[in-house]
Amino acid sequence: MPYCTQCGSEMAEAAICPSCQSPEPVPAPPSSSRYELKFVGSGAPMLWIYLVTFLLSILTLGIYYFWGRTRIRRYILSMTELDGERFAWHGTGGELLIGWLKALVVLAILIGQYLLFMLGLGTATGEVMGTIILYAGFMMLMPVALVGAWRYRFSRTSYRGLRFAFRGRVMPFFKLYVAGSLLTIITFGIYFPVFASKIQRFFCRHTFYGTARFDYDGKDSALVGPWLLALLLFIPTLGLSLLWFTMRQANYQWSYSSFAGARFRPSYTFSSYFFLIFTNLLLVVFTLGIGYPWAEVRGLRYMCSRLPLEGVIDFASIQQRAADATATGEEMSDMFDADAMDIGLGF
Amino acid sequence: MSVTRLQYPAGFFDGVSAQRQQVEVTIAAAGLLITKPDASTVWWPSEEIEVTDRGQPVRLCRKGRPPQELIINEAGFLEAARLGRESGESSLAAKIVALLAILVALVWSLYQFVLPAIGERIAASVPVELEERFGRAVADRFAPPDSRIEDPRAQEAVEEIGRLLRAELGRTRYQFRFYIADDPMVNAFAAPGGHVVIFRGLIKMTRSPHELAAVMAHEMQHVRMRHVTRALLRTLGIRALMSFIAGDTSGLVFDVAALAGDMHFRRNDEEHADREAMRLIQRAGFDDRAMVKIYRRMARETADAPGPLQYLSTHPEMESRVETIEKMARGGAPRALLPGRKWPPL
Ligand SMILES: [Zn+2]
Repeated sequence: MPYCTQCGSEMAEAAICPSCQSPEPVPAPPSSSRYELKFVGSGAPMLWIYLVTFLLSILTLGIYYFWGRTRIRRYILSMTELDGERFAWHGTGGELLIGWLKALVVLAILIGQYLLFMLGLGTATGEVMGTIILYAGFMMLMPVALVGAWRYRFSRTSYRGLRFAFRGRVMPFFKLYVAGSLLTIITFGIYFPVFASKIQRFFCRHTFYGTARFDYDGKDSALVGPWLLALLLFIPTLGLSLLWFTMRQANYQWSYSSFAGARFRPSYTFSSYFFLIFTNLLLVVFTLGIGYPWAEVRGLRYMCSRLPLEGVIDFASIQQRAADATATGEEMSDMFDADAMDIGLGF
Repeated sequence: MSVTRLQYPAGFFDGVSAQRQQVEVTIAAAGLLITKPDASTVWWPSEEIEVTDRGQPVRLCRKGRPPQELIINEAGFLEAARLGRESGESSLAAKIVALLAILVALVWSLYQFVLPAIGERIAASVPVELEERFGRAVADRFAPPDSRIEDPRAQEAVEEIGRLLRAELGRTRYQFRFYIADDPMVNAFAAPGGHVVIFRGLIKMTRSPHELAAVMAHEMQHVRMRHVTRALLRTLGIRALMSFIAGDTSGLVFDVAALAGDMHFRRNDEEHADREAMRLIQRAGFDDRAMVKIYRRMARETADAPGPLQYLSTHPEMESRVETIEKMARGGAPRALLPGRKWPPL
């Protein structure tokens, strides 16, 4: 019996066996490449999940809603790929339900005091007092809920078998958020792009993928000019200048954001985005809402396809951090770590 | 009989590094055996395997942290591993259509039967004091106290008509209060708990106190039969349903004005209030032809005046309602009402 001349395994005729002929390819030295972000899902499976969710939600008096949301999220992430590999969602309906219950308690307290003021005093001052507390309460809860949602969402998302993690703490973000909101109000809105840039920095610098991290090195004041222009043109353009600014901001913020050393190369444009929104609107309206999943798919395709990365991501060197892999108990005990944001986002 | 294939090449993420590894998966009775190129193995017990994607490629993950992932590019793997079928989209359209039909039927019956029934139940148990307070808030929103006409002559006329009607209304838990709003709209509405708001435009349009009495009788019957409270509860229920459909709980943070704004009576309620108002007018000995006249005039004059608060929009189907009350009118000699007064009093 002939043998492979290199490894000695049995062969039909003496030669070098296939596994020895093509040994494990030596990884090419890292050269700059392009990593495409893609959404490959389609409308029909999403519509199916939505309809099942809706039906079961009615039959279970709303309880199933959280599990349905989880299914949608799992579908969306499993249909999103970066460089040919898919993302995965590991959250559960139970976790969403708990987050919702936490939010409900807070919401009940806020609305309860409003009703007490309104009906109890029955006066205009009472109603004003109640309304002020209501809105101030919402404003203070916003940053807490945002951090909670980010922490929850990233910790439940994986890619190439590794988890993401958002490690921002509530207090620093709370300070950033309240200070930013107040400055925005005091400056009649001019401060807003600076505030948004600071949020993006906080968001990126605390978001991890295993041992790799996101980063943002944009200039906070860079978009003040475009923002003023958008405000000035708000009335003559019937508000479209805001849409233009949103795209300008997305382009700027993402092009100064990076992931594991590779830069985002966004190419959002006002005209393409406007076209997307307009056609999506027609799609939803003329199908009486049935077309909504297709509109969502088009939106996701647009957002992903125009956000490729360029540079070198050395996946072989990125490792799971032990803390992210075992943090379940610790994170669940965190009062703020819940996805309350989800409730307002529609489905 | 074909032999089930048990070995498949696969991509593997070990949950420790982001590097993809090329492995061989062997299907075993109690799980999957993953063999790495260096011949080391990883064992996935069946109970820890989760199929995250049934499409092409098939994706599996191992529950628990860190998540390990397998990607298998070949059709037939799922069935061979007894993990179900690969997804086919052929029957999806039919399934969607069927489910859609069920949903439409379900929502329709909820809207038509379940919500009204729940509203009725709750309306019956709402205490009068709460209705009374809520009604005041609604009245204050639509006719703020500082925009009310404090004309003693007009107020007196309205109060007098209200008193006479109240005397014939029979047992009711409500105390009636009448406000005149300084507003040119031809409208009147009854807030819960007996707060009746009459707009200046309506009073100006009446040609006799009997005509005003007809509209007031209608509103008072709405109050007596708790139509307003029921309509509010129904609107709240529909809002809850809508926000549930839209997944947006902010709709539940209700605002009195907004709520009352998109509230509307059912046609049944209107016709019921009309019939009862007609009977009330007749019991009180007022001119029942006047009711037909004012209704007809309102139908004519407000038909081409759009506006969210016009009488027509809160009181639909005026034409057919006029016919109904016209049949009920007997046209006897009416008693004198507010004799010797200039009319309209504004
Ligand atoms: Zn009515």
